[in-house]
Amino acid sequence: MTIKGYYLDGKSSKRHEASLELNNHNGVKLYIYGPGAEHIGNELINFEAGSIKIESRIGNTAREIILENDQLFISYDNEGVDSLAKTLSLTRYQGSLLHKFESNLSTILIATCALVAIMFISVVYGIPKLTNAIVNNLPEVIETQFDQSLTLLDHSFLEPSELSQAEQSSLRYLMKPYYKDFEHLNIKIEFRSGFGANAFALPDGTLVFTDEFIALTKNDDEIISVLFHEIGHLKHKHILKRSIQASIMTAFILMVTGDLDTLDIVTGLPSLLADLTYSRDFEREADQFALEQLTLAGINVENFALIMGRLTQSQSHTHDTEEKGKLSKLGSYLSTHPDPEERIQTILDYKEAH
Amino acid sequence: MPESVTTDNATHHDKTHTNKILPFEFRGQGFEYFKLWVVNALLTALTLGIYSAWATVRNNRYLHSNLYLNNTHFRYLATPIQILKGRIIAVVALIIYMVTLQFKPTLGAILGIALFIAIPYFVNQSLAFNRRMTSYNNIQFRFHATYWQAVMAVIIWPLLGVLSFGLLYPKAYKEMNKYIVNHSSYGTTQFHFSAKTWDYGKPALIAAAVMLVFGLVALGVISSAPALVALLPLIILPVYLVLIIFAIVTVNNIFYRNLHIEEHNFNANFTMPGLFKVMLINVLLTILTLGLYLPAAKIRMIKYMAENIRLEANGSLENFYAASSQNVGALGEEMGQAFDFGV
Repeated sequence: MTIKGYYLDGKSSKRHEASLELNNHNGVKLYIYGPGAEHIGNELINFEAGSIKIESRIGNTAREIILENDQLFISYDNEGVDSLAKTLSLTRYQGSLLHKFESNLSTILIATCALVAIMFISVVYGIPKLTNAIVNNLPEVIETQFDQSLTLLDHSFLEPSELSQAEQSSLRYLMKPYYKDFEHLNIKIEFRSGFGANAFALPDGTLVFTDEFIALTKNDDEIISVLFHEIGHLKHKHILKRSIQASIMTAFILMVTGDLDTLDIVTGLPSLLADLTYSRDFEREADQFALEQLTLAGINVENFALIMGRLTQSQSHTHDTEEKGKLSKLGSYLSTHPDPEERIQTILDYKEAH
Repeated sequence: MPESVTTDNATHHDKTHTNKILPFEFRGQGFEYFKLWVVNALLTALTLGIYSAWATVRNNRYLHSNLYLNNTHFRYLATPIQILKGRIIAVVALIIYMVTLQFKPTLGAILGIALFIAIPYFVNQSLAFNRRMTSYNNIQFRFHATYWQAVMAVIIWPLLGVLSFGLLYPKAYKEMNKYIVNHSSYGTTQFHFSAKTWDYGKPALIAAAVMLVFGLVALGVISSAPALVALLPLIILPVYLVLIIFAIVTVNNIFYRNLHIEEHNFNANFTMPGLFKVMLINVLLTILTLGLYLPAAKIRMIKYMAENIRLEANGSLENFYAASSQNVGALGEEMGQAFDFGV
C-alpha cells in the first residue's frame, strides 16, 4: 500500500513530492522525491505509529498526517489513509463516525428534520419556559437598573402633559383604589403627551398615559380597563422577560449556527420574528389579566372592548388607512400586538363566558 | 481515489519564478458544507452548546482546507479543547461581571474599567491565536504587537475619529488595518501594508457627499411636499444599501491592493454588482429556506471573495521559514480566544 502525497518539513514552505508506506515495525516509512526524481525515493524516514497523528476526514478535503517535529504529510488519497489508519489501529484516529454521518444522505435528512424540530420547540416552548424560570428566581435588585427609562423617553419622544394639575390628581385619585393590591409593583402614574393615544408600562413600575389617550376615553371604566392591562404587563414582568428572551434567542442562534460574520441581517430575522411572537403572547396575557381584574372589581368588560376598538381606530388614522385583507394578515405576523379584532373578540367571548 | 495529478501540477508550478499571478481559489461546495454544518448544529443543540467547540473546529477545518493558493491549501490548527477552555473562561468571566455589577456595583464598575484597560491586550491575544492557528505549507502565521500599539489602533485612533466628528475616521481606519497587517507575519516574514490615509479619505468623502445630497433631498421633500413623505423610504433604503455595498467593496479592495509580503503583492478586484448579486441570492435563499441555506450562503460568499483576490508573486514562494515556536502563556491565548473581537 503506497499513499501518494507531498511532504513539508515544517521549517520551510518548500513542498516535496512524497509517498507513505507501512513499514515492518507497525509504523510508516516516508519516501521523499527530490526534484526530477521519478520513482526512487532518495530519502527515507521511518516513523513509529505512536508518533504520528492522522487527522479526521472532512468531506473530500486533503488529508493531513502529522509526523514528529511538526513535519507534515498531505494526501488526497482519503481511502488509502483510512485503510492505513485502520491497519495501524491508531487510538488517536477518531472522527470516522462523523464522516459516515456526514456522507450518508438519510442521516443528513434525519439530522435536518431533527434540527428544525428542536429549533421550533425551543423557540415556541423552551425559551419562554426558561425565561419564566429565570425571572421567577431573579433577585429584585436587578429590576432597579431600569430606573431611568422615563427620563430617557422624556428626552426623546415624550412631552409634558397639558392636563392641569387638578385633572392629573383627580385621575390619580380615580386609579388609586384599583392598584392598591399591587403596591409591591411600585406603581406610579405619570401623564405625558406627544406619542399619540397610548398607555404603556415601564419596568420600574411607572405607568404612562398620554393626553391623547385620556381624551379618547368616554368614561372612567375605560381608563381602569387599560390601567389593568398595563398592570398585567408589570405583574408578569413582561419587559424583563422580553429582553431576557431576546438575549437567549440570540445566544441560541449564534451557538447552533456557528459564527455569523457573513449574514447578520438574515440571522437577525428569525430572532425578530420570535420576539414579535413573544410580544403578542405578552399582550394576550396582559389582556387576560385585565379581564380577570375587571370582573373582580365589578366593571363591565365591554368597556375594555370599546376603548380597545377606539384605540385601534385612532392608531390606524395616524398611520393612514391601511389596506385591509391579505396585507394586514401578513402585518399581524409582523406586529408587536395581536390583531385588534381578535383581541376584542376575546374580550367579548370572555364576557359571554362569565 | 488518488489525485496524484493535482500533486504533480502543484510541484511543477513553483519552478517558474517571476511575475506569476496566483489566484486564490475556494474548492468547498455548498451542499458538502451543509452536511457538516447540520450534523454540527444538531450535536450542538443536543449537548446544550458544549459541542459547539468541536463544531467550530470542524467547520473551520473544512473552510481552511478548501482555500487554495498556488495549489496548496490552508490549514486550521486549533483543537476543540482550546476553544472550549476559551468559551468556559468567557462565560465564567461574564457571569462574575454581571453578578458583581448587581450586588457590588462599585466593584463591578472597577471590574468594567479593568476589562476596558485589558481590551487592547485581548485584541493582541485574539489576533495572535487566530494567526497561529492558521498555516499554509506547514508554516504558521504569527501576530506580535505590543500593548501600546494595540492601544493606539483600537482605542486612541477610533476615539480621535469620534472626537473629530468623523474627520479622522479614514486615518483611524487606516491605522487599524496597518496595525493588523504590519504585525502579522507568515513564518518569520512580516506582512506590509502600504495604504495611505487618502485612499480611505476619498471614498469616505464620496459616501459623505452622497449622504448629504440625499439627506437634503429628503429634507426638501419633508418641508415642501409632505404628501410624498411615505415614498421617501423607497429612495433612502436603496441608497443606504448601495452605500453599504460600496463600503464593503472599497474597503476590501484597498486592503488587498496594499497588502504585501516581501516582493509579493496581493491584489483584489471586488465589484459592486458582483457583491450585490452574491448578497441578494444569499439573503433570498436563506429567508426562503428559513435559514437552512446559511452554510451554502457562506460558501458562496467565500468563493466570491477568494475568486477576486490574487497574489502577484515575484519570485519563489518556497523561501519562507517557520518562526521559532514560542510558548505564549496558555491562559493568555485562551483569554484572547474567549474575547474574540473578530478584528
